[in-house]
Amino acid sequence: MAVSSLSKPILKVENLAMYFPLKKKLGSRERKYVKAVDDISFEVQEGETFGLVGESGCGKTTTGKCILRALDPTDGKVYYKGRDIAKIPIKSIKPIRRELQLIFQDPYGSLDPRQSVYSILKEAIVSDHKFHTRKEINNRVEELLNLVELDPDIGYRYPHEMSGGQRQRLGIARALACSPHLLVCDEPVSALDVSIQAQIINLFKELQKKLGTTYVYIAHDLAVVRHIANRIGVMYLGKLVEVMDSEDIYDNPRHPYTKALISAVPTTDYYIEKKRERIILKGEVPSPINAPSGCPFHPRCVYATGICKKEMPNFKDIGKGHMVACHNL
Amino acid sequence: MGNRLLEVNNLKLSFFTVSGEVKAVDDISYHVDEQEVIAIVGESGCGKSVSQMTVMQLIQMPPGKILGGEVLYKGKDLLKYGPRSNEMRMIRGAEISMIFQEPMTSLNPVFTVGDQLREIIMVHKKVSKKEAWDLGIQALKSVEIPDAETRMKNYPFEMSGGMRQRVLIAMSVACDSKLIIADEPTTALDVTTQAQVTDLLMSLVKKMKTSLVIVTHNLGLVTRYAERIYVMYAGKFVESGTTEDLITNPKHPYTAGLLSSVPKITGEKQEKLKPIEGFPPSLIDLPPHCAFLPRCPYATDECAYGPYPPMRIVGDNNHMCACYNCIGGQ
Amino acid sequence: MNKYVAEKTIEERKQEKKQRSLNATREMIRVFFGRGLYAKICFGIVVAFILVAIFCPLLTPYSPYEQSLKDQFQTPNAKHWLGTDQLGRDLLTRLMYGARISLVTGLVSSLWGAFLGVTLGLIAGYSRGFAQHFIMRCVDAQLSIPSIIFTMILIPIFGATILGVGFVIGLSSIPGYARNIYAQVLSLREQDYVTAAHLVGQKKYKILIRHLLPNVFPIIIISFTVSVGAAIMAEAGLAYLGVGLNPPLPAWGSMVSEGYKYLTIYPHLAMYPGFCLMLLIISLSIVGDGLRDALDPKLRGKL
Repeated sequence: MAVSSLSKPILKVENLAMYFPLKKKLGSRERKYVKAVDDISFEVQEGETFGLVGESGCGKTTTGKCILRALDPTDGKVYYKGRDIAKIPIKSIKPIRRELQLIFQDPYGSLDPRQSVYSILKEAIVSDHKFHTRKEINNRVEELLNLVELDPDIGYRYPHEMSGGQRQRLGIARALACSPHLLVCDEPVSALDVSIQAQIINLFKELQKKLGTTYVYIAHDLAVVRHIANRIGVMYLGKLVEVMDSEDIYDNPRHPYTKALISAVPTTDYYIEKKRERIILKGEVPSPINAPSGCPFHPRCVYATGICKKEMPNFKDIGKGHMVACHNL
Repeated sequence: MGNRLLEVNNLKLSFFTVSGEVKAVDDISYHVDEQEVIAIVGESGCGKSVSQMTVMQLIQMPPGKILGGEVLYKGKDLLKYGPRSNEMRMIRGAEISMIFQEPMTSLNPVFTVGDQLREIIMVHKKVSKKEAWDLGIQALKSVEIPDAETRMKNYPFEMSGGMRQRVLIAMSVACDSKLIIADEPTTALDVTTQAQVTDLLMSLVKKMKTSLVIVTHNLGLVTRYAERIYVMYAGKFVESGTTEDLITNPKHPYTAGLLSSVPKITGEKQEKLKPIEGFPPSLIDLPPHCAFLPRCPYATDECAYGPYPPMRIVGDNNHMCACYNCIGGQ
Repeated sequence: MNKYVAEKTIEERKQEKKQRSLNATREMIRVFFGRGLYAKICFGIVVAFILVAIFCPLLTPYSPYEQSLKDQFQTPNAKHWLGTDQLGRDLLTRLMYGARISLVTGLVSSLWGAFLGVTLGLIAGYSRGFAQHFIMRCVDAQLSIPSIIFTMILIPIFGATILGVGFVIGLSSIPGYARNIYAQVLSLREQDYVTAAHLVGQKKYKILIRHLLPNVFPIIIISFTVSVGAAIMAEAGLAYLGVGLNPPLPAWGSMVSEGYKYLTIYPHLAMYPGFCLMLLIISLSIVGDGLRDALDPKLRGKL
């Protein structure tokens, strides 16, 4: 699904930054910060899926929470439908609160263990004040359960009586109860079994076709993100290092980190796998408290030169919306 | 083919709980040759980890109970030794060592890494404290931990996940284990760290002429490293064979389903994944027929009313499959 | 799915659900009594005390206040099974009525303390900023006063009646509840389902009542059993010191205190109520331990 560049973006993130202050050490003057997200910008078009990929601690979840205004970003702008929601008071976010929904990683932790399926959905439906009578609510519950392909008579069950896949479907149904326009999915399948993951991924795709919801899909699994997303942003240590079409990610990755990341993902294509070149990165991801100066990837990058240590490279468009932040292309 | 190192025959283990008997390991047989890398693949709750814990006799009994079978290590049946016997204690760690998914829980948080390395070396080798310490440093160096001397004095929480996993590998290196059982060794790690750790593990396995059993749900990982694969479903093996045969030409509908439901990073982008319908069964009160039946697209009356299909040879290189309607005939 | 899937009918599912909850209940009972024979005995003792407290007027022909100077200081005999005290009152009767007083004060004060403490803990844990700090600092301040002094000061104000004493002991148990619930709520409010409720636009007070309160409930029950025992002890202590319930009310504490004067000649006067007190409190605390195990979070999913 190609998205024309003329259409207005539903979400536009500009120079978003989220710093978490650390406790001051005794005697030290300056306060240190965990720079979880540091100056990132991207756009998401209506109806597309934007994948956000990175390793743990790279700030992808924090980015997702800032978009939903579940966190108050330190700096930067988040335009939702043309309106900056990053800094407005939390009260004036109410009208659009329900349009922005989140799918959680842990399908069990995101469901109240003492609520039945029916009352979980009812809660989400009723807070809208659109459905009042019992019949309306029941119809809506049934409609939602059908949408996520759950048996309608599951209503009286409790989360612990359901399988992981069913729980995640219920989580999706709860988000859909709010008729969201933008759905942030935070690792929605990584806690599930392999054979169940595919079911949920297919469900996401079908729902998008039916309802036209926009997704921001956050995950560490490149293969899954490549499958579901139209465009992919790769994050490293709080910074966005590459944004590209998902078709490009295997054939034409440009940033050295993206290349290493792809080569590290094993695949079940036996003959390709045996021939594939592998890039093993040296060392470990530095801590976001003492992020390296310049390009955050330079200590582990084989192409690093002097300038990489000093300056953070700018985001360069190298054609067809493929953006890369690297000095040595 | 090298010599048989480990041979497991018809191993059966059940847990007896209030809700009933859980057949966690039901009549499985496999073998590991010297210097061979095999993999046991399955989804969570299929009994793959439990099967390995049973081999090591690390299962709490009760509620667990071994109902039969033998575990031949270098020709000796380990099940004849009790779980607390001296023989078993010397085999664990020295001969066979295990690497777990979460390295933090397998290291003691109140002792330094060096203390723990030294302790395990001194249990299994007759060396002095000083020598053991030096051996520990060597082991850390062999797993590419930079600055090994100072790292010996670190506590586990001062290390990253990848580093802790290396320490565990160092422990089996230091004891010259002949067989390493790695239970989801990289699942808790990031993709790039995963690649680092598995690469290191494989190079050590080659260098030290060790055998390796990888227990995982990650088919890609297995494709990359294993020589032979056993696929496990609901406590039983459903298919086994060389990696090439099994991955490129799966015979059991479950294996085929698993392979087609994982999106690939390589090749053309698939429009839609083909998932396996339904969900894995609970291991309590399994039916007498094939456990995969309700999810199987190829099921016939034979599957529904016949007994559990036995493992039989369906292809070259000892490719075995437990199914009445193997994909591609036979 | 293929045609071989055995579709379960609604009837079967209901049956299954029943079976599951039955299993869970059975498991809870097993854990509850899992501490061996003495747990069962203690449970029996607590039940026995409760029954006696409820039915004591039917169980004894005497009144706890009826004095008869000619019968004083009797040792156990057929007429007075445990003997009589210095005013010739039947000891067994007084002990039975004493159980009533102890349990009622224990329950009243614990209910009252639980109500206030839980409310404060919930509010403090859920609201950020001023309310949180204000409530918790007040709780800390109260904790810094020894509870015996706290109650001794307040009882003359609220009156040395059963309700008054219960009320004051309840007040002194607030910090325990509040801190317990506060800590629990702090971790619960970071749970994903609370965030999810926020995101669907649920109101804050409704999240508090519908999500947080039900999930701290097991903690409340456990704290409650513990505090009943503590309250009975506090009541007895106050009565012994002469600050709490006064004679002729047959409170165990004041019975000990009265009998104390005759300890060398008639030791049974002080020993019976003391023994009852000990038995009830130990039993209550062991029942509380069993309850804590049975309501363990590991089993919570099965409840």
